[in-house]
Amino acid sequence: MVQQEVVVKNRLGLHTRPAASLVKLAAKYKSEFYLERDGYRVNGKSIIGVMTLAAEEGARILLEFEGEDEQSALAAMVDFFDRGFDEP
Amino acid sequence: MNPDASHSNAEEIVIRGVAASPGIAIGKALVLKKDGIVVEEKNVDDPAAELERLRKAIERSAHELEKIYGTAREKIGEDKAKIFEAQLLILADPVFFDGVKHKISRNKKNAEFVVSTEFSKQIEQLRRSDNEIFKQRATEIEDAKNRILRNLAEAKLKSRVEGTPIIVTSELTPADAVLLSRSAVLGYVSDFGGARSHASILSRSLGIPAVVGLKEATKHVTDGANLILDGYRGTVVINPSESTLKKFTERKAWCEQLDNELMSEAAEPALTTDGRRVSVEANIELLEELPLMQSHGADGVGLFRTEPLIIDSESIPDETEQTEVFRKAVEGAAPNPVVFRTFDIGGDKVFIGEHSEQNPFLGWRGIRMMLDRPDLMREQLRAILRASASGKCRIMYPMVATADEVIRANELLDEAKKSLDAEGVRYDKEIEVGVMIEIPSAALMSKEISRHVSFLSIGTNDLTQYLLAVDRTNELVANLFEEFHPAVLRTIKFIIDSGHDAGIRVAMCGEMAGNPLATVMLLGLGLDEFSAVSSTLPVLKKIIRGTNYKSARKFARQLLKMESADEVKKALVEYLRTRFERIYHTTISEENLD
Repeated sequence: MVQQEVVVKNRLGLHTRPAASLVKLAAKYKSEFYLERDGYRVNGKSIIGVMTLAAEEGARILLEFEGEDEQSALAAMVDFFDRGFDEP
Repeated sequence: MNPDASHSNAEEIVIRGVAASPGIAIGKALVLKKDGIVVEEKNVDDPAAELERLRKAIERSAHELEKIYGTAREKIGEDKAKIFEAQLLILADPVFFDGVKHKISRNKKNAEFVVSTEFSKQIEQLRRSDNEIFKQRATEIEDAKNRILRNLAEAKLKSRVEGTPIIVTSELTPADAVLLSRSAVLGYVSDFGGARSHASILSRSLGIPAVVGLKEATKHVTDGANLILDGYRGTVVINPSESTLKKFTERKAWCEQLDNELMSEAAEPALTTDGRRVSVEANIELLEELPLMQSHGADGVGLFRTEPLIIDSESIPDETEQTEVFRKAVEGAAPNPVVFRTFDIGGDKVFIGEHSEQNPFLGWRGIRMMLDRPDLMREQLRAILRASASGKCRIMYPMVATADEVIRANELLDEAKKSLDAEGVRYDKEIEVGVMIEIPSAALMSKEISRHVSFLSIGTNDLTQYLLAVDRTNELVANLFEEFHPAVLRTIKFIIDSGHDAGIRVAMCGEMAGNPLATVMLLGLGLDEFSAVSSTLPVLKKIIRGTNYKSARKFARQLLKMESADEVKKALVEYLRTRFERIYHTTISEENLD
């Protein structure tokens, strides 16, 4: 299992469009994926779950992957957060 | 269309709302209820059958959404259509639906009940957020829930609209409008919405009559009831009597005749009988409206609202995306010019991120916000400049209060030009800049402001609200909102004179510019350019062509001396009734309405 904390960087937060992209990215990996914010934990392969995180700009989120490709999955996801979901 | 007499013993009811799209429709109601789905909790013996029902309902829902997504991509572009893609992902959420299926099997409950309760938990979770944007996202999950529930109930839905009904619904969503645009629909009637909501704009561009904001239409109308929809006056008659039906059938015939006549003359210039030429232009917010503007004889686009770019795509589109939209607008309007108004965000319009104010109308909006966010302003100005290489366009700043703001905005424009020069990007070096005059201080300083711009454009809605200190969305004082108040007229006169003294053109793009009652007065006050929704332009042109400019000036001078709005309106109604009787009967007259 690998974990890393990330910060939401784009202005509008993890709203519908980035949530959709995030779930699509997560689906490319076999590992189980969870996101946790202030003790609230959701499955990262569920768009509904990810939307309910209501993670605005500046929110700190713990990413957790478990599975054979956990290292590469985590790296890709951290990069996606660092890019601010490719939004302003 | 000849409605039968099956509902003829029901009582005739007249309800009034907002005239959203002109035209008269007579036909049968098809009531589309979205929120009225009642979910009962039931025990089931055969959960496998429930799982199969659920599978089919999700499949049908996904199919509907794919169709909407496809149409939306064509009509509103890939980026804005993404919202429907997210809805598709919700329907395909493996984690969520595994949970739903598991509960159906284990608890032996009906699919409706489990779907409804599981979705509601998630919606509740989102609504708990302090962030407004995320709270609103709950409606997207709610949409998915309702779509599945409706399909579970195998309710008749919009995509299966048969015959040529008048659609009656609580609120027309963009998704509904896109879908309905492909069926034969006589008209739209809705409880909520205003003249500028997306669906209203869409019905205008499709030429489908609509009355919105009726509050209780879905309560009064039953499926199959006979309906008359008057999109000129904003009224709906439910279960019309024989005599009402006859009256409206006649009215429809001569309204259509007048319409045909007006449309056939729409391309002729707006020239008064004594040779004064004014410009009649269109207010536009969606690219879809461009063909309409051309067929209605617009001399250009006097106001292109850029805020819809933000409302629909949830985030501010970048320079490339904006350039793309602006270029299409310029090409669609060619050879006529397009006036792009820079983002007028704030007030009752959009807010950026998490932002709310005690008094947004007096707050951070329009040019104020854009000057505080020079990054956004520069990006937008660059996008307009880049589009100017493809055709004639102009720039307009909203919510200006002082000349200083204009000077600062122009400095940002110069910076944008220099940056494009450095990159070797082509643009119109002579591009004109104007400001909206809608704040009393700007009206009083319009002479000074005129030194820095090429045109002024009067925004009557905000000007009236600020001048009379009336918030027209506040029901307690809404009746005091009166754009024909002599104080407003005198201010308009002052603005026009100031612009002319400085040698520049003065336009108007507020609601008053599109009101046939005001046309002769505005002409007489010396207005150079009228800008209003496309559908009304042929009417304005007809009035202008039938008016003598010298007499209009004289008439305007009398109006300026009046003491009350009622006095002004009475004189204007009388003028229209005697000079342009048929236009008066189509748009203004309340006769024939019991």
